[in-house]
Amino acid sequence: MSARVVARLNVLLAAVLVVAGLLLVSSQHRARKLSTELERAQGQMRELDVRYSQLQLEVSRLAKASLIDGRVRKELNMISLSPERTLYLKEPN
Amino acid sequence: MVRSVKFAAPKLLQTRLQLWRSRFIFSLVVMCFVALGGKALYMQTMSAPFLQAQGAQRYEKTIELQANRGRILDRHGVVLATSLPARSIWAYPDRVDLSDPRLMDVARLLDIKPLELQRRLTAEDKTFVFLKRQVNLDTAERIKALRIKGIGQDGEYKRDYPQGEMVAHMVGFTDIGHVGQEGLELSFQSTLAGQVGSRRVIRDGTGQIIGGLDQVREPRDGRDLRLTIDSRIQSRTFDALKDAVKANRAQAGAAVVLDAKTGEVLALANWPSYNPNERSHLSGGQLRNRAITDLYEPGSTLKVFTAALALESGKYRPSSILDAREGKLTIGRDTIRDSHRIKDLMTLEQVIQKSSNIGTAKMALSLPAEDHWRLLTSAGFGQASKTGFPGAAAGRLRPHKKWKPIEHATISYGHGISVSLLQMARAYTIFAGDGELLPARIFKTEDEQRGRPMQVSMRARDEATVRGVPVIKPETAAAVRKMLEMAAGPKGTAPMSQVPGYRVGGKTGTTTKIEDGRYVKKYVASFVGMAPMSDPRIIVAVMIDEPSTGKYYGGQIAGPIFSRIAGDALQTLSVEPDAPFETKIPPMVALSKGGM
Repeated sequence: MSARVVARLNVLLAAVLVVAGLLLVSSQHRARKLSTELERAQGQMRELDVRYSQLQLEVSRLAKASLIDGRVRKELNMISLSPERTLYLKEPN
Repeated sequence: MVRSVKFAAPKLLQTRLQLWRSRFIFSLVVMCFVALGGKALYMQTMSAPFLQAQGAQRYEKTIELQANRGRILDRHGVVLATSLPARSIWAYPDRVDLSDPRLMDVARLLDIKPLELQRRLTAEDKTFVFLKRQVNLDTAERIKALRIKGIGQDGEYKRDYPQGEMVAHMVGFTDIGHVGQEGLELSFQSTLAGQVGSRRVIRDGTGQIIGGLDQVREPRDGRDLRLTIDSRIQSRTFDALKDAVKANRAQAGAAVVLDAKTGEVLALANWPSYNPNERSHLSGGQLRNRAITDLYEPGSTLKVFTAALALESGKYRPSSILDAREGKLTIGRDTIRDSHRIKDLMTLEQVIQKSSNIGTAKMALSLPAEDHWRLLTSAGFGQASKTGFPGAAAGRLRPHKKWKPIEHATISYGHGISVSLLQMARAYTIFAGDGELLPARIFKTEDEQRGRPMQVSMRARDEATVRGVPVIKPETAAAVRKMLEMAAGPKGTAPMSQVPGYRVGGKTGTTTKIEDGRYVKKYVASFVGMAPMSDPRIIVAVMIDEPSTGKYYGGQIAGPIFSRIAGDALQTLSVEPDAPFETKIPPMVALSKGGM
C-alpha cells in the first residue's frame, strides 16, 4: 500500500471519527431530552393518580349510605321499602 | 538554482553545547512526567472511591419512590379508608419575620389562631417547628404561593375515613406516621403498609432529571383489604342501634349481622362510636369494639343450645313434657326461679317459647355435663373467633369437670358463662343451616378480593355456600328453628321482633350485670335471631347495655331493634318475603304493571 493511500485512509477515518462524535453528542442530547419528558409524564401520571383517588374518596363520601338516606327521606319524602308496598314478580322459568 | 537548506539543521544549532545541560533539562522533564504519572496513579487507585463519590454527589441523586398504603373497602368496593398525599407545613422560627402581614393568611389557611401561630414561632428553644401536619394539597399550594421566608413544606400522606363513625370500630385508625393504632389498621399493618422504593438519577445543572441509573428499587404499594361488610346494611344497622341506645338511655349497644349461608359479617355496629377523622377527644369507651372484645352473660339466648342438646341425646323430643309449675327449683342451697311463673305443663318447645329457666335447667340436669360442655365448645364458646380482628375475646366456659350441679343448671340458661356478641351470632349458624358451625369472616379471601368489579350488585348472594363443621343433626337444627320462630311469635317472649312480610325466629336474653362479684340491678338486654325462617339468610344479634328507662327485658328492648335491622337487611339483600302480608298496592296498579 502506498503512502498516498494510507494518507487518504487516515483523512477518511478522521472524518468518520468527527461525524461519529457529533452523532454521539446529538443522540445523548436527545436521550436527555426524552428522559426529561418521561419524567414529566410520570409526574403527571402520579398527579392524575392522586386526583383519581381524591375523586374516588369524594364519591365515597357523597355516596355515604347515611347521607343519601337522610336526604332522600327529608328532601324527597321517600320512605323505606316494605313488602306490602312492593310488587313481587315471578321470573318465568 | 537555489540550494535547498534542511530546516531541521540550521546553522545555529550546530554550535556545540555542553552535553550535561541538555541531559539535565531532559531529566527534569522526565521527572515532571513521572510526578504527574504518580499523581494520576494515586488518584486512580488510592483515592478513587472518594473522588467518584464526590463526583456522583454533584450530579446523582437518590429519589424516594412513595408507596401507597392499601385501602380498606367494603364488599362492593365502597372506600372505608384510603390515603391521600398531604403536606406538613413547618418553619424555622428564627428566620421568619414576625411582622410580615402575610402570616395572618397562613394562620387563616391553616385554621389556627394568629396568637397560637405567634406563640409557636416565638418558642425560644426551638429551631424547627411543625405549624400543621397533614394539610391538604390545595391549602399547601396556597401557602407555598405566599413565599414566606422560613416557612416550608414536606410531602406526606393522610389517611381518610369517608364513612366516619359508622365503621370506626372495625376499621380503626392510624397515627400521624401512617402506622395502624386500632382495629384492622392495626392488625393488618404489614399487609396494608407499602414498601418505599428508591431510584438513582442524574440531574443537570438546573436540577432536572436527565437520566436514570440502573439502581431502581421498585416501591411496593400496600395491599387493599376487602371486607365482607355491606356498607348499606352497616349504615342502617348503625343508625338503628344508635337510635335504640338513645331511646333507652342505655350505656352502650352492639349489633352484628351475619350472612347465615357463609358466616360473613355483613354489619358490625357499636355505640358509642367516634369519628376516626377527628380524634382529639377520645375515650376508652368510645374505642371499644363491644361486639368482639366485650363479654357478657348471654342469658336465655343460650337456652336453645340446651334444647338442641336434649334433642340430640335422643331422650327428648320437641313434644316431651316438662314441669315448671312450682315456679322454683332448689339445687343444694340455691334456688332458681322463672321470671314469670308458668302454671301449666309445657312441652320442650314451649319451654323455649316461654323462656322457662326451670324447664331448661331440668332438661340439662338430666343429661351428662360433659355432653353439654362439648356442645357449647363445638359451637365456638370459650374460644376466640378466628376472624382476624385484634383483641377478639374468647369468653369463659369452665371445664365440665369443675361444674357443680347448680352451675350446670345456670349454664343451661346462660348464666355463669360469658360470650361476645359475635360468638353468639356465629354459634346460631348451627341452627340457621343444617347444623354446621360456619366460620365468622370479616374479610373476603384473596381469590374473592381479586378481579371483582367495583360495582354494587343488587343481588348480593353471589357467593358459593361455605361448608362448616357439623355440630348437630339437620333435624335438630330444624326443630330448634321452629322453637325460635315460636319464641318470636305472638305467644313467645319477643312478639316485637316481628318483621312484616317475613317469618322470623329468635331468642331474647335479659341478664343482670355482675359488679364486684355480685349481681346488681343493671341489665343487659339481648336478642339473637334469624330470618326468613323458610330459608334463613341472615342472623342478627343485638345487645343493649344498661337500658335505664324502666324497661329492661330483651324482648322489649332488643326485639324491636332486631325487627328494624332484619327488615332493612332483608330488603337490601332483596330477599323474597315468605310470610303472608297484605299488599297496599291497589289491584289496578298491580294488574297494569304485571301485564307489562
